[in-house]
Amino acid sequence: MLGLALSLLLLLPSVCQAVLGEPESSVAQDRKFSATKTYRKRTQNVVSVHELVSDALTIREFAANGIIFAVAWNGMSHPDVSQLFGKQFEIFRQQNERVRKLPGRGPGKVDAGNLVVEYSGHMRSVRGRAYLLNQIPPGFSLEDIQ
Amino acid sequence: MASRVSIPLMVAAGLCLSHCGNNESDKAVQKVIVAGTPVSGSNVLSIQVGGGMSVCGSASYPNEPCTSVTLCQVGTSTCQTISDILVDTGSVGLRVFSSAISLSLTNIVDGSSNTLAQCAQFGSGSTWGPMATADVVLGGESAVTMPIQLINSSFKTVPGSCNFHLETSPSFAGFNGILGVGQFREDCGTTCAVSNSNGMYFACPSASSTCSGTTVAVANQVPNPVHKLPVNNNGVIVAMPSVPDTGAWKVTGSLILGVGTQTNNQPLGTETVYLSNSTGNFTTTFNSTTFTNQAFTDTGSNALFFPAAVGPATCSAGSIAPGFFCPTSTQSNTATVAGSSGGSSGSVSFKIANAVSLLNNGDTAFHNLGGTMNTYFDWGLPFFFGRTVTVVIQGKTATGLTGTGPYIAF
Repeated sequence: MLGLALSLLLLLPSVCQAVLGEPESSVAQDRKFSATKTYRKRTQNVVSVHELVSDALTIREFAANGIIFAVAWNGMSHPDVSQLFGKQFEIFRQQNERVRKLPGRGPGKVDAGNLVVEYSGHMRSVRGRAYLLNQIPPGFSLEDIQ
Repeated sequence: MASRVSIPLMVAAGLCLSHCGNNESDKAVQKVIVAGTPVSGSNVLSIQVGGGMSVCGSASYPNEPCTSVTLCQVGTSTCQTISDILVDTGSVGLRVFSSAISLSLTNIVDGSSNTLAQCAQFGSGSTWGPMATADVVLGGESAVTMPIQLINSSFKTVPGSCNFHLETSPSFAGFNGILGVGQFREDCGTTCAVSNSNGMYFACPSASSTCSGTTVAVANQVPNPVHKLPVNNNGVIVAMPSVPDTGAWKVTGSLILGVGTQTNNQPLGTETVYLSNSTGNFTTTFNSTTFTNQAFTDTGSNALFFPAAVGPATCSAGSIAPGFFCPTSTQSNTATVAGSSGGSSGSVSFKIANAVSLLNNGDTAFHNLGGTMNTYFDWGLPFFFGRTVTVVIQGKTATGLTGTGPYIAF
């Protein structure tokens, strides 16, 4: 099964956008784009966690069944989500513009149906995450997306 | 210190917005005004929360502490005082909407004549725009020339790291600018001096609509304006009065420059120093959960924010306060705080009331407003009510307090 999935992935044309909602192989694009200096991969049950550490931030990408279903980050700066969110970016962008964060100045949450984006922290210590509700493997806790 | 000002309906009618229901038509509207003990001195900026400021609060957000700063064209007496500036101990640097400035300020360029621009990164989102040099006047202190950010979301193409809640105008943001007087000397520090993928500093060629990540030497970054003062430059004290459980319409307090440098900014002698780590965080334990180096104090956060898992019920998604806490009855809580590398610990009592009930009463300052935030424990503005909180900048010390910044003490 895994072998079949891998073979299919190899047959896919290379994606130019990574990574949320895209095949796990798109992590490679993100490594390049985010100027990753240290890369680690670990596996917990059915979930692979790719950790990309660059100068200003650490990005973690969560994959199951060959698809990236969540990304999380922390560091000095938020990442370039126009890259990190892939095709989901436009959905995020439209909802982000529609929703006036109420009431006030604090953490943000953009709830675009299947796509949920959250961000928080303060200058020099920001973090955030985004996940696709319908891609989260059974038994995986949202608490672990960080 | 709280004074209840009863305003007859005829006077108050003009102030009634959507909060005023029909059944209030036959009773006087009471506005609670709480004035902190005034502090005199050229090193004092007044802070106001609520009370009908023209821009602060116009976006209808509560617990927004604001002040004024004066900007001048470098080396001239051509100056402009800009009101409705958010006082923010959670960030560093002065940032003002270019649309609020009538002065002619010079943009800062790099060695290749590219305009330097910034995506300032906050937990709540971002501000984008070029850097400029201005003479900055805080309170009655002398003017100091320094880089600031001109907030302008129309400048070039906004980079992708600036996509979270980009502040596009004073009316959208609810302020004309941000006065970042947090624990650091510059907004970024070493990372932005050595790596061009820092997400914060950008070089913008005049012929191009896009900007590229760039490095900026620490000395040329947007500084903490307090750090640049010739005196009173080791930190600030935020002194705010207590607010009633039901909230207040207007609260005034003081932002005092310098710590232990003159008679009006001496430590009380009762403070505990909590050292912060390199990103400005210390430790807080609440409800059996320890937020190790994931807690911070921040006047710019408008509530006490912590994870839903350790808090009471949240307000419904369709309410006026989604993501905030809505307990059926007010919760009285105690948390423990400790420095990032251990040291003394202390306890902090706080309350969380029903956010929808609070916000429906028409007031704008609350010590018991709470909301959800993943991972962190954010001691926002409610924490500052009824306290004198000291912030000491990295590498600096204060007479009467033990330790070297970055730290907070209360």
